[in-house]
Amino acid sequence: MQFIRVILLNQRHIFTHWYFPSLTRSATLQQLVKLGVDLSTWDARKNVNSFILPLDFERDMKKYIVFLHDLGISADDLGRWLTVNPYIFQQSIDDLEARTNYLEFMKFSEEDIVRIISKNPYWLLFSTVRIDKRLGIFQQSFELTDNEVRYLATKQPRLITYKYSSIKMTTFSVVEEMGFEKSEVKSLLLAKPRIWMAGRDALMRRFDFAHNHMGLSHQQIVQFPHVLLTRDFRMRQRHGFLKLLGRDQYDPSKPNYVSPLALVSGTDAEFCLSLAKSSVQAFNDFLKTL
Amino acid sequence: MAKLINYAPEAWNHLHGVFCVYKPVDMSVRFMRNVIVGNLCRDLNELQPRHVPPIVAIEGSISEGLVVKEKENFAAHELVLGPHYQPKDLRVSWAQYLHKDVSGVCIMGVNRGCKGTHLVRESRLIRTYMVSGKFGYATDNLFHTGKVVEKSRFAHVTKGKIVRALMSIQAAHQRASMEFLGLDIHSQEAYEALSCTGLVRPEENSSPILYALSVKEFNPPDFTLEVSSINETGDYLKELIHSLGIKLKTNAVCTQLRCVRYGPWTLGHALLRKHWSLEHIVNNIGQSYPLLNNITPKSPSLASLEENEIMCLISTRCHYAYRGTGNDS
Repeated sequence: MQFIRVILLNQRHIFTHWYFPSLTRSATLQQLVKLGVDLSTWDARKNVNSFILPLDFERDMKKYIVFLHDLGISADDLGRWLTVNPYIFQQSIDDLEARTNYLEFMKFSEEDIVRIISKNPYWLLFSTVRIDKRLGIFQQSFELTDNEVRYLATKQPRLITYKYSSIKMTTFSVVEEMGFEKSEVKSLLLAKPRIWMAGRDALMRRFDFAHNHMGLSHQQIVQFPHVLLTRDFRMRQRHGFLKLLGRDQYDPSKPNYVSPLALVSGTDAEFCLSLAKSSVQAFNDFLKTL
Repeated sequence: MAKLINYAPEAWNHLHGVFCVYKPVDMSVRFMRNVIVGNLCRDLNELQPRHVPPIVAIEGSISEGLVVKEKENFAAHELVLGPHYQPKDLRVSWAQYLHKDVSGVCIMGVNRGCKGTHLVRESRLIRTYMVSGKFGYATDNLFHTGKVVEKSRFAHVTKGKIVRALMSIQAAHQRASMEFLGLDIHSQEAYEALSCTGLVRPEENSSPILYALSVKEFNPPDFTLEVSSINETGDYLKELIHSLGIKLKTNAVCTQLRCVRYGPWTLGHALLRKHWSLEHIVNNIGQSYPLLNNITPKSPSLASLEENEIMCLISTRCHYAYRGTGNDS
């Protein structure tokens, strides 16, 4: 079925996918738009249209929406949830119930389950066997206790369903290339699991700058893992400015100590006034010499 | 006199023209363009969009009575079509391709301003760079990020020697620029071209021509040159540093390339990365408009420049000793 859509945007016509009569008459699509689902993003993904269009809202979709609502996902959030994960309509309700029962069985509290499902809509697409395997892998490779596994899954649910080969590569980088010890790796994982979701090249660049140019030790980086998650240009700029002023002191035992966390957070104005004790204009002039 | 704009199409109407950004180092121009386009779309989508009228439908039948109803127009709903302003709607182009290693002033044009960037490129404006280098070693890619292939001593290098080497390079370029004019160097027309009407600029695409070379800083082994030129590329400037090192019987590698001036646009006009948003870009377009209008059209080789620029560059040509050129940077 060919779909064309014609919009007038600044007097130009652009072809898109949804069939105009289909939209004005289809109650299903109208209901979805009223819920807040972003149909344009479904458009852009492969094959979503092919299984969504034959569905009827009352007959097919309602039971899923009731299921999600019973689970605890609020009506305002439902639009965003379905936008991210339309593939839920391809799962059977029994499977979905089995997967949530698994979480209850593994002693996740109710708020945890709501947070996991809400933050990571793809979690429900993974079978219980697969999820169990993933949680097991995390537990074994990072030597986590049961409580820590639950804490990790609740803090960053997307990490559990993340592409496992990337996670293996990042773990290799953190252990071998950056040189952190096992206990330090575990602290990093529990403090900022997002490190494992960052790109490996960017991570290495940031570590290289923090360790070799700024002079932060491994322990300091474990204490302030935020330096591995900021964009490198921000660190370079701010550290460079502090170095120019002679205020790049990251040792807490010495005077004029600057906390690495304070270095990477806050707006430029806050950084200039409180840390650099200088003006934003001076900082801007410095940026134009880089 | 500031005007507050809340209506997106009105902001869009102002988003035509040439603006000036400060390109960060280690960022390709293409990436920078994508960031700017993304930021502009994000800011435009936050403003109040054009009102979408509802569909007016007449329902019922003649016997029962016709009812006029207003229905929500789902076909023009934001959740169906996507955001009102998308990256594919914006046209952003750049006047000069800056290499990834070069930071500094970069002229870009948005929507109808893309014609302006063509104008800027064809005007063959003089660009000024601050090129930093380091004596003592040479790398395989002529930049400090490459693998070191040669090392040498540099203690014998003095500022006077550097200045003399730069003067000889500049004289060679002056001869080359005269050849592009096609005039006999000893003729009256050539004399007039050089001294009275201004600098000589080649009409078509030529190899790089340097107009001014001077030493800005010298703390051995580091040094910084100020280079004014036309038609140059990042690679050419790195080669310049390399050949300078060889001329001085040592080695040199380029450590930083920074464009500080592009025709009338200077560092003061350039927008930093944190200012790449709709409000700042529209204001910058307004600031750049008089500069764009004052660019004299490219005429065969005898285009004139601003008075102070001519004086500065003539002074470095005529006096074979280092003198501060007094440029703004």
